[in-house]
Amino acid sequence: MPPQVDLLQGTLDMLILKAVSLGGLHGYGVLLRIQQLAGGRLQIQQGSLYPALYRLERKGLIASEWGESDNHRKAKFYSLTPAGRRQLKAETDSWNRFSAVIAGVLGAVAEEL
Amino acid sequence: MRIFRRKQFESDMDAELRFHITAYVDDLVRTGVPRAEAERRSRLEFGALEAAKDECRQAWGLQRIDEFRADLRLTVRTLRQNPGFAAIAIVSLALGIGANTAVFSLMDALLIRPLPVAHPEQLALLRSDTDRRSFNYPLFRQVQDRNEVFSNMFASTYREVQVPDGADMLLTPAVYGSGEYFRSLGVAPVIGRTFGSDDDRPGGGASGPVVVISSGLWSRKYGSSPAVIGRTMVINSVVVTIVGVMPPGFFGVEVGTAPDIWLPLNLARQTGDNASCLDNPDCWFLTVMGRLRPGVSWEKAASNLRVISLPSMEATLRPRMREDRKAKALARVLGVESGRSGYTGLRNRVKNPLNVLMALVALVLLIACANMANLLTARASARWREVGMRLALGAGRGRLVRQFLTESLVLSAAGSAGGLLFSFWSTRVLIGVLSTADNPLRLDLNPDGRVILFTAAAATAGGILFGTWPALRATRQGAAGILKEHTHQLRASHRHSGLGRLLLAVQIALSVVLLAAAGLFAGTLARLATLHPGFDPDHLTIVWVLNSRPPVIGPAAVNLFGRLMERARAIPGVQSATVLSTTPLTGGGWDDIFAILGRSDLSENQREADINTIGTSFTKTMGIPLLEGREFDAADTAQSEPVILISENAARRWFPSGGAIGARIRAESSGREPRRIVGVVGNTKYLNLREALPNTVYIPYTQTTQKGYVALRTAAPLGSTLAAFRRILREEAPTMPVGSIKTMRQQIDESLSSERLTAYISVFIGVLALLLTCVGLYGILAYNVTRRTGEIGIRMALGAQRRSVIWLVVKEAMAHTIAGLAAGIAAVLATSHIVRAMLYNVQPNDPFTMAAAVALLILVCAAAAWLPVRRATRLHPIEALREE
Repeated sequence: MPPQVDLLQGTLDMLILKAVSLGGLHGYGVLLRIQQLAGGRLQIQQGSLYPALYRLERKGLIASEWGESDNHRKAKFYSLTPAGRRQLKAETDSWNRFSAVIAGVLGAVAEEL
Repeated sequence: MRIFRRKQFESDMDAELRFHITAYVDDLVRTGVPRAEAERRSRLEFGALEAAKDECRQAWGLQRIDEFRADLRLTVRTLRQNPGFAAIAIVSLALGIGANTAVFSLMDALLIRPLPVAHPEQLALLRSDTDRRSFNYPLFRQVQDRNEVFSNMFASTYREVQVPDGADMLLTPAVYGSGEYFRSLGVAPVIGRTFGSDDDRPGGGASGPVVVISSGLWSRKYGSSPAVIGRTMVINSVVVTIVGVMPPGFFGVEVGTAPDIWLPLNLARQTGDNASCLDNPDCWFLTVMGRLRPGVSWEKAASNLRVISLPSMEATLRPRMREDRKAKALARVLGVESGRSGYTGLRNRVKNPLNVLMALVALVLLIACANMANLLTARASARWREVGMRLALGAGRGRLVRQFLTESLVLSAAGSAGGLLFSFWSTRVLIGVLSTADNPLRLDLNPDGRVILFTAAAATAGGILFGTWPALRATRQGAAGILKEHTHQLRASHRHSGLGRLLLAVQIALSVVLLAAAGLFAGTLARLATLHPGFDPDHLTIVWVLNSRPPVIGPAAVNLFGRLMERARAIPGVQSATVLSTTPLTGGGWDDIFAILGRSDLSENQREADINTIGTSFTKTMGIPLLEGREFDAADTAQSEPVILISENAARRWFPSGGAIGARIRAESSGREPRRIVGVVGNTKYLNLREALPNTVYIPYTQTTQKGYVALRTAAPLGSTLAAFRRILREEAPTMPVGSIKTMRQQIDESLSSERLTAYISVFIGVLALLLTCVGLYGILAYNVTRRTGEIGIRMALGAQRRSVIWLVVKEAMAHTIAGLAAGIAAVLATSHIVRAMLYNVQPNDPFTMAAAVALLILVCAAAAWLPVRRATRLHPIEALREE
């Protein structure tokens, strides 16, 4: 198993939006997709996933619908709303800027100053 | 909505989480993990299921609602356990809020509520002088022509007209309005048309005499049939055509009236109401209102009216006026005020009382709130340990505060619901007190949104006020503080009840103010009601006989009233009867300045006298002593020498050295020839009970045109006597209806309506304040005893005397009670001068009233203290200690 990292505060919402943006998923599917995308290096408390989903749905960033899972069980499927798509883009941009700046700061070496 | 979908939400959430776990278990099993192990791992990795659910609910915004419902449940449960507490809190608040709502409703209806007309805010009420709101017709026409600030303007007057109803004449409330009346008010009729300037001409308009009727009359008399338009009716013997029906709720501009008929003002020339008044500049009988032109400010309107004052007054002067009166007339300045809420003669009478009452009921609401705060504080203290426990178990502070607030808001909601119910009843009582038989007060009593808003605001403010403090206090300590404190309760609780005692002091101070007010107003009413008016008001009935239209005048009228008087005397049970032109104490009458022949040194003020026209047997009927000379008899006729009776006051002022009998006096503006004084009678009140005893003179009814009332002194039950009189009247004058029949006692009651209103309400709220304070004090002392049970037990076990135990219980409240009393007395001394004008024969700082208020309070405080003190002194030391 690869070494795992803890989730940064507040990033779970962003990851959920990303996962759902790749196609409608049920809650368990969201978990699997995030772990798949992270290559299993991300530690997610399963119980914390659902409050985040409810929060996002309440904010209107994702929508839900009852459907049938692969093995024919009733499951609730989430999909991204237009507002969610905008939010994901904004968060992705700001994350990229943020990580570039932090990486720049942390990657600085003495002679470049 | 979210609340109702609650079940759906829960089952969806369960299904979703179950799916997650099952799917994970399946995946694990598929990778080769044994099922039991997979289930264990899935539960482990998911984390606490119930916590996750709670977080989901919170994320969905359901938690607040859940908590609120839990708070409500808890509140209802705790209130049920303590029905006494709940009842006291709710009833005291209901009475406080109810009294406020009732007084505010009345104020709103009389003074604030805008008229139900188009854009009432543009309406202006005109004044013909600094403090006169009535106009004469010529002056109205002048102002109407000359002003540049009103788009239209109208004059109106409220009258009762005679409409035949079977064999009887029915007095029907009516309004005479000038041509622009309806156009200015901008209210459309339900059917037909209103009347306009074309209909308001001296000879009548093209359609002849027209009237507009109310929807009430329309449905009562014409069954709401549209065919009413064009039908005729008879008003004061004039045949008029109905041209329109006004919508329900429309009453014109005079608040408190409910007219059924609107007539063009100039039709009064034919119907006879104020017929001679229309062209007479001495008849001030019209209310004048105008609609401001768009863009014209109130300042501009006022200044325009000031400018046109002098020319308008000049154009309407009475011919042959004395120079000094002319100067006075020309100095009048027209004024303007907002006519948004219409006009009522009651306004001047009740404005001050209502403002004072509003202040008093606000104070009692304050006391009710303080009481609630006190009760809640005591409860919070009793629940000290519960709060500590819950804090220790992890309850948030905000959560606890919310719960306490819920409790107080539930109480105030219940209180205001009760208050609203109470106010429905009490507002009707207030209207009843202000209504008189002659002037029934017709007000729309359905409390409008404003009143409901007022109640709700009062309740919410009260709830927040008295809910926040105990809540904050109870949670300020923190769990450790509270639980630790319990061991040091004796010392700590001292601080807790500090606020309670401060509130008590405030309550007592306010109670002193309210009781003093109640004492002053009740004293005023009692003094006025028991005042001897100079005549004997018991067993005296006054019948107002209305003249027919066209009126019976001259010798025919004299003969008629003579016959009525004679025949009335023959009715069994009637001891004596006479004729009057003025009922005393109605606030109206007739006066003049008298020339005292042979004296020129008296000022006009001293020579002014109120006049009444009387028949024979006057002194016996009215119960007025004849002091000198004789009263009128059958020999005083229209042809005999003009004679007059004067009152004791007039005799003393005009003839200080005696010799009144035989002297001659002449009424300056209403009498042509001098009259010889033939007798002196006792002083009586004339206009009202408050006035100083005036000069009064009496003229025989045979020698004037004024009459209209028959006074009866009776012994038998009134019913049969009055029926007999009505029968006589119908025989003698079938066209003359009875205007009103009133005993003199009723007349006195009616003349004191605003005093009674003030006295009733102030006594009611004084008693309420007393009760609330009593409850407050009881609460504090009872709490003291409970809290110090252990201490009292120890002291008693160590041999403390009864007296020192009593002292222990009452001493904390004592200082605050005394401070409250002192503050209350100071407040009364500082503010009581405000009500001076409302009092009669009692000083605002009347020491007796003050002493009585304080004594009453002390008495009630002692009574309130008795129960807790008794409990304390009867405590058994052993049991008390065990409780600790």
